[in-house]
Amino acid sequence: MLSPAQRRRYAELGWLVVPGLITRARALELARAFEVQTQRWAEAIDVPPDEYLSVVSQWTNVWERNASFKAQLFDPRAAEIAAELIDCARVRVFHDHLIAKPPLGGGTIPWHRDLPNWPVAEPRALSCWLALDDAPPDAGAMRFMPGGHRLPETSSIDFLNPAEAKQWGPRAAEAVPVPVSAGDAVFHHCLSWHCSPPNATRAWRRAYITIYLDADCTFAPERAAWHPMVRKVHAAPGLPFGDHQFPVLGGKHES
Amino acid sequence: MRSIQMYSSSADLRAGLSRALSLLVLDPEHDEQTPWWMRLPVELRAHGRAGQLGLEQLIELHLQPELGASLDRVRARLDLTPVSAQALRAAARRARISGRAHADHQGRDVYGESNKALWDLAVAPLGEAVERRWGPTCADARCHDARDLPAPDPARAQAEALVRFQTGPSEDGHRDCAEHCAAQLREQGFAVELHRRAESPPVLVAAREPRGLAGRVVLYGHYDTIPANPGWSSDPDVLIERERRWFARGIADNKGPLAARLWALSTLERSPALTWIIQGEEETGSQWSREVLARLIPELEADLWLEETGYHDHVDGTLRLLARTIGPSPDSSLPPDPFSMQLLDGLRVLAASGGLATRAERRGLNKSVVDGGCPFNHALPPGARYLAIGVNDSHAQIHAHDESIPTWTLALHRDELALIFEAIDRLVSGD
Repeated sequence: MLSPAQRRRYAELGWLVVPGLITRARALELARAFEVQTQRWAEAIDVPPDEYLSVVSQWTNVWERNASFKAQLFDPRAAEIAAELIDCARVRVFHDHLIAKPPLGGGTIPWHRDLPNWPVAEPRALSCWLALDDAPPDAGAMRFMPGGHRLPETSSIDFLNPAEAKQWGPRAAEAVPVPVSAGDAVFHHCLSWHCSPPNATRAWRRAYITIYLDADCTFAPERAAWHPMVRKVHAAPGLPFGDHQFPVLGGKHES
Repeated sequence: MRSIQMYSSSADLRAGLSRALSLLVLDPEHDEQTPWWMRLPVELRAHGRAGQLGLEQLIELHLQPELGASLDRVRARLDLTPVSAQALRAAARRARISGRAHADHQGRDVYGESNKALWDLAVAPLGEAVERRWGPTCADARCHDARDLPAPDPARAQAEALVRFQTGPSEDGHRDCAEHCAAQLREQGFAVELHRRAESPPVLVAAREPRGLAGRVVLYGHYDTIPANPGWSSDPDVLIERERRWFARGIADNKGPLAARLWALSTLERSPALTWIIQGEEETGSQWSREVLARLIPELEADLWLEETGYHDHVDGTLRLLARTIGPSPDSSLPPDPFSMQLLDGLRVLAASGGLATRAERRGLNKSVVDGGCPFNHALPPGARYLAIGVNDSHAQIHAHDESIPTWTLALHRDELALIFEAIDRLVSGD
């Protein structure tokens, strides 16, 4: 499904943009599903929708609560690309999440890597960041440090404590903004260094993110005992995650 | 009260808001003998004391006009500006929305930022002010019921070892006990001198250079006991634990407090310069130690003189703060000076985190039963800052059968020592 050049690019940079993973129309359908769902959630906790969306900006395991996102999660194409990039036979969904940066808002997500925040032992995982809106550079598009996934392993970074902020020094200029259009997907390695600025536009910047693991990745609760998924894992530490809670979605084409 | 992390922002916020409420003890209009949690509605007191209130409950309490005004008086006392009720309400609402979204459908803000915003408003300035005055131990304490604290195993082992030495008036374990204490202190980096005189138990004088903190504290203690009285319900020379108390001859006077401090010091990485005087004939007139102390004490310039122990009320754990400035004559007590008053405030704040009230008394530890009076107290120079604080309670039955101490006070006393050391560093450094 991917060309050798795409695979090389991912291996070199730590991320790969796949234009049009879904159609623009499909992305807009998902954006509409997001609006309906968040309105329901706001009502469920008795908060006006606008106020709700001014506070709540991230939702986890959406696929378990919304049919549109469940259908998207089970779309085999993203899973096939993920398996190809991880270079494994089958991938497992760790979890999904929706992240929304409202117009003229959303705050800064500082430089970080994902894996140190996950209770996963092996660095054989990636995220598929699917844009539901156009995300030009000033709309809070992600920025990556090329080759950052090959740097030595680091511990997690606490976003609430500026003292832990990653300092790149002279390398800061190498950071690359990765603007995308609705329907495009950014696959990025679990050890890639990335960040995103606030949304400075008057449009929403929403993304549906799925985290794929090599299906054989093992549970390592000691790495991130606080992670909300830890409570969901029935497997013993050191063993692969359970298929029921963390579905296996097929993988790359055997040839 | 010093940090909120994205990995635990909700729990950290709850802990911080709880702890902020415990600072009500600093309200000039608060009666120190009333625990802070008695200011809460009846149905919330038990959970409030234990630091187990929910976020919604804590927010309501912070927004309550009477408690809010009281907290503003606390802020004023700590040289902080009042918090705008409007800003507090707005931040609280955002934190509530995020909390409800998380509980209902795994929605949340970005990495706890609304919890952080409320923290920055209602907790962080108070935490920083507490740390500036009294140090990190005081600032890091979380609300809990201090009377639930378990006794640390190493402290128990230390107490068991001390109790095994027979150090009553006609017994012969004094030298071995002094050597044991000396060895323990040498292990902790003290230079130890045993002042000996034939027929007299040695007086141990241990000194250690500062470890990262300014100032000097002199501690006092003794390792001798009285004979075993009739009526003991267990072997008086074997420490036993019953109903969360340790029983043994001399456990309250003064082997338990000695053990508590030996253990506590072994856990503290930072301390000011320390001198610890431990004698072995307090129960029999202190003839030799009186001579040693009369020579030694005038040479010591201490920022605080710490008595052999102190007391809690056994009914509710109220911490007694026996503090004074030594007057022109050894037995006269002047009010604590501003330096000591600030230290006492820190101890009140720490005690409040454990749900305890305090009661300050301007006097020394009652040693009327000590033959010839206490040589330590008698030797203190005019102007000396004196504090009696420790692990005993009013149920200790000193010099009687079934002498005991509560086990929960040991962990608290460790934190008290840490606070005293850190606060003295700040006071001496003029911070």
